Amino acid sequence: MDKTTGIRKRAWLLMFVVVALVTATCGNGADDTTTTAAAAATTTTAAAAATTTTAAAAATTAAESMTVAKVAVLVPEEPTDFGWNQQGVEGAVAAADAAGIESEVAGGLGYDAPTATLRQLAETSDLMFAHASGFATAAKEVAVETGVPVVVWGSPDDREPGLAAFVSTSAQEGGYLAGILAARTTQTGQLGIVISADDFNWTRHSGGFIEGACSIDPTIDIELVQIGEGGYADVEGGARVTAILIAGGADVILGNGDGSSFGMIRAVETEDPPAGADKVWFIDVIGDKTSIDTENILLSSILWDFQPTYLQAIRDVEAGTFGDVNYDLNLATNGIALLRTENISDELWAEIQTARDGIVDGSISVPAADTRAAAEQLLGCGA
Amino acid sequence: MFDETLITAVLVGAIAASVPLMLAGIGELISERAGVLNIGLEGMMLMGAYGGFWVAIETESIWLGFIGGAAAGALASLVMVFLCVRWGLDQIVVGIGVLLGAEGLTSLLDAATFADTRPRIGITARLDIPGLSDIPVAGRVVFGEPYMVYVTLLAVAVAGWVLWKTPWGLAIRATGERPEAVDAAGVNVVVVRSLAVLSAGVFGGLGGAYLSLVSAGNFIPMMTGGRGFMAIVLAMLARGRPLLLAAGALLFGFATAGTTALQLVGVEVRPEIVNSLPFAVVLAALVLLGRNEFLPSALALPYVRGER
Amino acid sequence: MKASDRVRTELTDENADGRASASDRRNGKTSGPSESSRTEKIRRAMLLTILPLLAAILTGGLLILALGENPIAFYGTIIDRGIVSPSGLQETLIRMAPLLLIAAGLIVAFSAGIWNLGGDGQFLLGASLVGGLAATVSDAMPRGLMLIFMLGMSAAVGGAWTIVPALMKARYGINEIITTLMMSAIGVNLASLIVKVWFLTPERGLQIPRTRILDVSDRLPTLFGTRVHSGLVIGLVAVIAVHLMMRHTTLGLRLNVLGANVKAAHHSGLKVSKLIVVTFLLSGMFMGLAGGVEVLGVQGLVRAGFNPALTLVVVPLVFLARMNGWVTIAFVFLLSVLTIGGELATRQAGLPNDFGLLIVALVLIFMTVAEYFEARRIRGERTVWQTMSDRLLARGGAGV
Repeated sequence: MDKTTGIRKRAWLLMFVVVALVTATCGNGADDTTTTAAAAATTTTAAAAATTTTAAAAATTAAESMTVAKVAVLVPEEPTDFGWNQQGVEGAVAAADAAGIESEVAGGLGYDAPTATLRQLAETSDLMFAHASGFATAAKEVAVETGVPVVVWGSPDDREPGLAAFVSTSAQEGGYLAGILAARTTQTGQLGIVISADDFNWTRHSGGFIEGACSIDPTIDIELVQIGEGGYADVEGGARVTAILIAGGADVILGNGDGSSFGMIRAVETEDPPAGADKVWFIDVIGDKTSIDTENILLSSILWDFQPTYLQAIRDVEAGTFGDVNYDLNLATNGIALLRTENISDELWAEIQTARDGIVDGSISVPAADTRAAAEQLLGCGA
Repeated sequence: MFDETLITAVLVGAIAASVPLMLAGIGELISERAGVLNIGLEGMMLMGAYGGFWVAIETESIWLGFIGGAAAGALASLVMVFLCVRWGLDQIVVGIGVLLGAEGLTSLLDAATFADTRPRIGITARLDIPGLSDIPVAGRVVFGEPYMVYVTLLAVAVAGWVLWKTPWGLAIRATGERPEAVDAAGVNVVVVRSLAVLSAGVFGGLGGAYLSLVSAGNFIPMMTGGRGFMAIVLAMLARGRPLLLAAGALLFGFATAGTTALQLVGVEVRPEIVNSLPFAVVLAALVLLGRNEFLPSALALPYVRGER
Repeated sequence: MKASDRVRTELTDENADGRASASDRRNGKTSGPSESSRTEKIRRAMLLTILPLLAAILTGGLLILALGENPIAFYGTIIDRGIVSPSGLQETLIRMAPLLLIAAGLIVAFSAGIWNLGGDGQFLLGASLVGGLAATVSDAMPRGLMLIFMLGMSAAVGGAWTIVPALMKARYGINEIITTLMMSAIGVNLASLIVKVWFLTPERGLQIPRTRILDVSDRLPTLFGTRVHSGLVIGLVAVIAVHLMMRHTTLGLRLNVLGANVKAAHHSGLKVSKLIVVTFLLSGMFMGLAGGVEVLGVQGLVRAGFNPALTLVVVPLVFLARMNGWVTIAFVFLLSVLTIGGELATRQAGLPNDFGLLIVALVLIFMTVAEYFEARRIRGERTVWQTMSDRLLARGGAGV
């Protein structure tokens, strides 16, 4: 009884495996040929997308103009970080308000599974802001699937007329101005940069910062340290790394992080200033933390304002030109700006403004360091 | 680069990183010796991080904050006490339930309290012995740490002494090996285990509170980032010896702070490799030291009088 | 009667409820008339599931009320989005695919008393390998072949990553809780590293390092015109196959023996070391496969640092289901509904997304409490934890 039962049972198992494999690889032929056409087999599409049959975007016909009644913004963390997530949400909501339309916010989604939420929002939205670099691929695919256009933070190749537009940030321009500010403010002649991860935006800030500081003082000493891999929310790491930089002599710190910035701020607030300085200053990024700057250590912030760009996206969808061009946050469009706090004197601000004008009119060019290695190469002011 | 303030800062950072592991680890070690596996330790740390932070902000006292953190952790551990020790339910399921519940609860509370203001805790009181604390490097690292560091080291020493040199410690260890023998000797197994689990909650909470009050000075949802699990592993490896636990925690703290130091010195090693090293070292050590008993025989077994 | 037959009759469980009747014997109960009828058992099991679920929902509802939100609307949204709405239901089913495979891997391991806690590392390595190679391989071969090849590779990698803890346990009796956790931590790092170093896409201008993207048309085929990919079928088949294997095959029997009592396993003449390694390999293969399915079915790529960390929450589900495949599928469905429906419900209620974790925690705790009352009611029966703990005790870390 043993052996035959055993063999029979094994045969069952084998059958199951075969069924699984067959299903895995053959399945329904229906979808085999779908490429970029909106999948006919899928069910609901956004009501407003009924007009966008032009979703077959292989052809470059322009999208038809659409009424945009509602937009949605998706972020990976809860929008309470005074940083990327919060600024993104506030920018999108403000853009919607300016356009007189509704907005919906989906936060705390994490980094790894946005697709379900994207599809759900596509049912009720006419435009979606996939506000995280990890969301770009999924957002683009949902856009193709449902016809609802998306703004993505991925790569320039994601652009597709009527469906998707990519946003980049000329973060280095803001970094440059911050570098000038820091070089003029430091008493020890030493600056510190913290990045929470090897992130393109952080390294662009850093590269610009180094160039800006070097333009004021070629002998300036700058240290760049990374908290870890994906240390965006590593508060303890932010505090530890910043304390180390301060101990090394830096009295102005550029802090690139989301949640981790709070650790950096705390270190700036509590560590003893290095010899030769009576205070340590902090330059934040993306958001405006003035309201929570209880110890007055915030020298400035490289502000990212998403509202103008997101508003432009809404307008472009309405005009039927969405996806014809990519967007860029930069000084000229006021997507990037340096925050003026009370701690910046008039003369210094004027100097910064002059530099800003130079960048905008092209007389000053700031290289974009897309990796940490690229940023580090700029250290030493090209000596 | 080899400037003393810099070296000091790195070493201080290493200690700051190891203390939460040490605290949570002590609690877990006691609990495991008594036979209860606390998978939910990470949840207890998180509760302690939030609870301690909240109390400290409200009362403007870090010491009250620590007490609050310990209480919050103990509260979370009560779930384990009732469900697992008293009723003998699955320690893994309840532990993971505690973890998920703590994550959900602290995120909810954070959204309701700190999200708009993101308050920070200032510097913690540090030991200051005139003369000794002024020695370069060692002065600050050995004699100038926040008081809680010394409390932690004291706790490690006391735990070791209690566990291995007192009758109570014997009761705890015996409960983890042969609860029926302990029962026969007239000691209440449920009480011993309950206290052991509570100590895991208290120390776990303290570890989390240290993280938010001292190491980071902030509370951010999910800020424990796996430290609870690290503490569980360290406790298992320590085989009931608190000194070994402290050594392991320090090792991890140094590895963490070391990544920053390496960057400053200009050593370019892939961070993934640096991050993996401590774990690989543990594995190698296990292979070399191999065949020893790591876990108490009655670990994770509910004790029901009269059974077996 | 041969030794293995004797052990088999002690352990074979015809009623599909996962309880080792060997423990019944130990408690002086003989098999036969004292076993309740099958319908009775099913009715009890449903009660054991539905009542605690209701209790959890009620408690959660009170909490939601205390927060000033409407619990009826909240739960209504969960059910509507997670089950009723066609698009939502599809998302739920999609979510289930990798979870089912992970569950299959855990059932195999836990039934044999092996604590494979390294699922995340095994998952990610399977995912990274597939993510890195799929796009390139699909240029070279037809889709069906590529998919089979990739799925096979992800399973192989997942299994391979268990070899170290497997040998350490089989040869030296080293506790696998520690070794699998260590390997997992290393595996997570390694998975990210290989994306950055070996499998980085040649495309430029990226914000984050990632692999090439596998065309949507090259991914796992979808079922019946929906968006649900066939990974779901693979997952269902895996869990059912494991369920049947554990009950009706010799290998399953041997694993059960190993899990119940190591000494009995030795005395029955089973090669315990080999069994341990086989268990690890099987378990790891399912984990790796889960990673492969997730990439081939949903993601289409792997970014550096990708880690959905799915294993942790599946562990209690498998325990509560008492290693029963059908029940596991139901619980995984429930979890997926809570995840998908919960995201919308928390969003609409203005609560943080993590609030959903609290609901899941309540469900887990109430369900395990229900089991306590149930076990107390049926005197002498041991809870699934006690059975599992017996297995842990039998090994006690002192080697096999």
